[in-house]
Amino acid sequence: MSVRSGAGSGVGIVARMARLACPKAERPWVDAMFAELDSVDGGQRSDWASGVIEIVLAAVAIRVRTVPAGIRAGIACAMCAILLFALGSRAELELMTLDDDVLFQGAMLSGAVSAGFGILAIIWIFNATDPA
Amino acid sequence: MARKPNSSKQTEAVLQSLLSDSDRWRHGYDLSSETGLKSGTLYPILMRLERRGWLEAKWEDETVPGRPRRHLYRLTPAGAEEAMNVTVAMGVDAGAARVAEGGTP
Repeated sequence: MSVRSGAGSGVGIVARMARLACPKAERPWVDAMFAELDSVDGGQRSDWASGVIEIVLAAVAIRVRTVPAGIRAGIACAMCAILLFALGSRAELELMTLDDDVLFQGAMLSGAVSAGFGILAIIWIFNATDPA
Repeated sequence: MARKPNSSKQTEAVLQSLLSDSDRWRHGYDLSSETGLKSGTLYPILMRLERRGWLEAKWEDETVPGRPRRHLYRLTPAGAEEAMNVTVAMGVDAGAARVAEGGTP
């Protein structure tokens, strides 16, 4: 597409970054806006470019709000588990036959699960092809 | 008078601008200059209009050396009809407002 606009220049880099940060469904519009930038009068270019950033941020914000409930719940549960394991290790639960190592491993596992759900959320946000 | 969903003043300005020469393909910057809207306002409107099927978009066919192909827009027949309705409704609104202020419609 037309992200070649200002290739190699600051604008080209910004265009590539904006395109990467933008959910798939809105990318053609971001391309269109950057393609138009070459025709925009000098004084208005920064306004035009800031409009592109606004649109990318708005699109990402909308996607973040619409992450499926299952993924949100997964992240929340895994975070709670990390907290519980961390609190448990501080509360000296060895007396209840729970070893610190087990709690530490539990916290690590919950962290990994949480990160996994986080990655799922990121994939969902940036690959959704339906318009926001 | 009740407004259609998303029929903001800005959307109406874009529709009027597109309707003024509905057969011609228009560039985003032209529309921005004509309506006075910034890109961050104009493009979400264009996106919504396209999603509703009121607007068609395409990339320029020919490439001009030294600059990327531009994106072009024009109203679909359905979009032109809706834009016409919006323009008429705007006229009615403006007339009603003038009557309310004691003037003539």
